[in-house]
Amino acid sequence: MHRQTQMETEQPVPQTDRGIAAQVLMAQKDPRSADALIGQYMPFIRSETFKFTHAVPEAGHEDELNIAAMAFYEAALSYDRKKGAFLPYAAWAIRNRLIDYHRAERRHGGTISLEVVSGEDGRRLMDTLPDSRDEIGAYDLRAASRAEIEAFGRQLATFDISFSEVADNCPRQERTLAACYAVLNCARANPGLLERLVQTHRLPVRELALGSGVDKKTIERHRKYLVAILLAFTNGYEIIRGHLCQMTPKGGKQE
Amino acid sequence: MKYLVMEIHPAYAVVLDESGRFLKAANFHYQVGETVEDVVELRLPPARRFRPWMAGGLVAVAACLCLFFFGYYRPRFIPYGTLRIQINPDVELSVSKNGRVLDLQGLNEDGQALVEGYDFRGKDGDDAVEDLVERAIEMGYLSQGGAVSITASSEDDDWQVQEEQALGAMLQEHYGDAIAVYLGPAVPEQDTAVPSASSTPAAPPASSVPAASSPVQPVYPDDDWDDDDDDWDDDDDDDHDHSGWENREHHRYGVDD
Repeated sequence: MHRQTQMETEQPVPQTDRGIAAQVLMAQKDPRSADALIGQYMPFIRSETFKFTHAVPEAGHEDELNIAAMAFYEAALSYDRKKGAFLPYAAWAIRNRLIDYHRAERRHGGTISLEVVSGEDGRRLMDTLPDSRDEIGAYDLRAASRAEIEAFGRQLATFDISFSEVADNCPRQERTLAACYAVLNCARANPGLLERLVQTHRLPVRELALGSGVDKKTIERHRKYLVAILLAFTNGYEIIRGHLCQMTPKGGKQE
Repeated sequence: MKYLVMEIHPAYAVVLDESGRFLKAANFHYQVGETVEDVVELRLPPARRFRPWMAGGLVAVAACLCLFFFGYYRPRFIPYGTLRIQINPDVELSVSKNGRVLDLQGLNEDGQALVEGYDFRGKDGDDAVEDLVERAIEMGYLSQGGAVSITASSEDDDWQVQEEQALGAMLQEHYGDAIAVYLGPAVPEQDTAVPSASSTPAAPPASSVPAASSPVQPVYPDDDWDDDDDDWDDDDDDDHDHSGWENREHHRYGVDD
């Protein structure tokens, strides 16, 4: 079994290491080539997961596989040539991430699975609980939000922005996020600006900087994120806006 | 916190949290439009920016360089003062603060001849002066009853005085009465510019000789001095081309006569 795993590891390495490094560096810049890279190295990710779980991912270890895929992606993002060959680095990253994940999961160790068969009538624990969820309603909602998000994504694509890029561009510091809220409030107070954004496909940076008191450079730096979040507050994206409005008292107060 | 799944990729999903952040998180078979509660966020590599420890390192390196420069390099390799030896050969040494000889020049032809082939590198100022006086004796510039004038000059007056006294004492100790040692700024204008000395013949000796602290300080009666002055003029006219030191020697012996 072990030998088999090793063979699996070696299988997707037909290229020289330099080729992989070049691919990885490409993936750092372009989310699509990152996806391609992960698709190509999925067998490697599987084998690394197997080394950790000692069971195939299909036997209840899908989560680990997903974590491992993300760890591989993280490794690709943080890789540079100084760190040596990419694959050992990625294997190390995957292993660490899986260990972290297991430690976090162990906190739920005291609970039992809903799948466990309980009682004498052979019913699963899950089935004994009262079904409070409206499955059909949830399905409808999901379909509606899916349609809305796809429309949103299409509109973003007309600005040459993808969701990945928005996520990369999203402010990480509280202070910067607050500044972005200020810009958003300014735009919501002046619907003309939002309209201009939709029509000209350009962020009215000067007006927003003047209206919100946020530095022009900060706005420029988070342009993609601001375009996305401002677009979400134009007409038509009720579900997304509803999702945001639940927790944006800071954002909604000023209006 | 609830997250709305915006986009799915093989390795991650882009989710929108309720405070408007777009995040990348592990994709546990999510579907677009789904609302999920716990996500495993992607850890982005830390941006390469200026880190405090780097600043500390830079400061440490700068401090080391400063220490090296001010503590080692400057006292050793930056000229701090000059020592000038006038026998007949006229020689000037550049000396660093801790007494190391940095440069050696002959200021007249005899001086150049004296300096020729003398390796001063790494030598101490005192040793170099001693060696040069010895060489002068060997080469016949200095003989019994001759005189050496030593002048230190620097921005630092204390250094100047100390250095002169130390050198004077050293030479006195070595050669005793065989040679006379003069200290202090001896005839500074005269020897560098002989023609100018000739144009104002009376003035420089009058100012410089009393200032020079010679081992034998002749006492002049006031009347004699005036007479002397006349003699001195004659003397000076006779030997234009001699260095200032010669003049002084003449003067001294002239007075004694």
